[in-house]
Amino acid sequence: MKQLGQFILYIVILTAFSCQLSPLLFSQTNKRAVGKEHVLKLKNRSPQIFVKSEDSEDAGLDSRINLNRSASETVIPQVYYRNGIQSESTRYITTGHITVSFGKDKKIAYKQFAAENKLKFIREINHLYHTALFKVLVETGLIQQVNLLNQLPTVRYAKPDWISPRKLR
Amino acid sequence: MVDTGVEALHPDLKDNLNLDLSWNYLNQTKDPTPTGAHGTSCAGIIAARGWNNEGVRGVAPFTQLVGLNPFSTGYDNDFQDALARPYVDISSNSWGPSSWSLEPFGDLEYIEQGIETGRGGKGIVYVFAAGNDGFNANASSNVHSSRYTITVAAVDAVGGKTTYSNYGSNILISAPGGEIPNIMTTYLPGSDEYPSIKNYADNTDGNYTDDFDGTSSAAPMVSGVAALMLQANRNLTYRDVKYIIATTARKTDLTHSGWTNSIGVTSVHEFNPYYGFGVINADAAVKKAKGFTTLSEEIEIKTEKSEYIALTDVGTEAFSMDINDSIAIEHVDLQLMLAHTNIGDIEIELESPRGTISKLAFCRDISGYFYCTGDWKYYSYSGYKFGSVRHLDENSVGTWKLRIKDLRSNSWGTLSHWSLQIFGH
Repeated sequence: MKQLGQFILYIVILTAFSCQLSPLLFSQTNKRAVGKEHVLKLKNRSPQIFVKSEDSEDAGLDSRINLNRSASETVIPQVYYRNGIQSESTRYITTGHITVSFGKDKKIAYKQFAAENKLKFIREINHLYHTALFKVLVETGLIQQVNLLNQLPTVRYAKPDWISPRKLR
Repeated sequence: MVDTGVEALHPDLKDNLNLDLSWNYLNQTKDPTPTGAHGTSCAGIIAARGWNNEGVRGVAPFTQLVGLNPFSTGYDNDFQDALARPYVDISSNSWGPSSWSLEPFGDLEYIEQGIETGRGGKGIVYVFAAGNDGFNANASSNVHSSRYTITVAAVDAVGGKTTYSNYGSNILISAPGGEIPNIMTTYLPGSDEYPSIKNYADNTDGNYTDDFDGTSSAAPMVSGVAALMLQANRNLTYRDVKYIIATTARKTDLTHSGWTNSIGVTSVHEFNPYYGFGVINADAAVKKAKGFTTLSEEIEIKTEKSEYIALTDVGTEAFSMDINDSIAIEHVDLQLMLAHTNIGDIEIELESPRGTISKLAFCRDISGYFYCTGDWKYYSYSGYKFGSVRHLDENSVGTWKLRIKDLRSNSWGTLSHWSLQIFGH
């Protein structure tokens, strides 16, 4: 009986925890990002909510980031805010690339994988875990494509190659 | 140097900078000259050339520097490339996540690659700055809590606690981080991030600053000492380097209350979450490095428990786990499956069989003020791996105790699973 009670409480807490991710409940102390909500579904991890920004200041940021690569690699970056909180520390910017990891002892034909999944193979970035960088070729949206790749049994994980929030210390 | 880059023509750095191995991610060339000063200042602390009649001398004045500037693009894959460069002996990193998101970057498996394949299998020595938020460094990122890295706190100019340095049971060592006076080192002329030296007649080119500080300056000091150690003994593994640095540290701020833990318990090595095992001791570390017999192969003990336990609102839940395998501990990891409506309300601590305590999560400052507010309720410790170095050389056998304290009302949580990984020899 005690175990049943604990299980019910666990479900209640999990539900509450899921609900707290709702952008409707964000703290009033944080600026709320305006834009469409996307759910990033990484393998073996809780879903993460990202809001794609429609802020005009972020558009200016996009053009500055575009200068960071040669013309052949230039993509149109998109700005996302984790949990919908608009701050520098929750800002993730797309680079047009996806990282796909296949795991130790699982060699894979990267180019063939790329062709099968509408990607362009760029290079292997981790030979221990057989992780590679791919360029996204379709217009369906980067997070959507990452979610699809994470459903493939051969994929250990796929994730956007972000410009993640890092800072000098 | 994984940073903003290093000025290639700096008079105090150019003779130590290896341009063949350096890389500029922005313009895809081997010239790592940056647009910001930070990397150049860190580089000078490690290896400004010595005895060349120029301004400053680094900790390891005849060490080759490799300038890598992933901050020029910010791309995840550029950082990961920089962390896994196979020909690097020491990776000095004065950066971290810009929030307490508990979000692994994915950087750790690139570090793992460097550990497994770098230096002919002896492992790259990874040094990371603990951060300047006056906060729990263990909840910073899985890189900073990892057994693969050396996380460095900062002390002030007289070896005392700084106002800013992060702290925690994952701090291995501390080193000077300015405050006050700050650190004098190399600078990128024309940069305005922090002041160049204004009043010195021989700094008319603006090549030096006397205003560099933070754990950003403490970490390269440790990287410099690691370089001296490898010059003394090329056969040291990354674990040897960590072990020697910890066991040769100089105790500082002797009356600080952080040096004590449980009453009546004697640590094998004294530890303080603000200082790690103390301040880096270059002389002692290099002497010990010479002729050091490498630590025997790493042994991992892993044990885990699944149990659904509701955590008491404003209360403490205690759990225990028995370990029967005997090793000398180097590092302990704790991973929880913990659902909680506000992790800003909870503290987590792990007590070893010897009775020493690792405080892994905490959200109060010394006066009891709760600083984990605002965004904290949107994050989770679930699946996050806390690390502790504070049980170094203790024996693993006995009962390990986990305590989760809920310190404020109106928040709820459940522990469903916890695992303990003990690494040692």
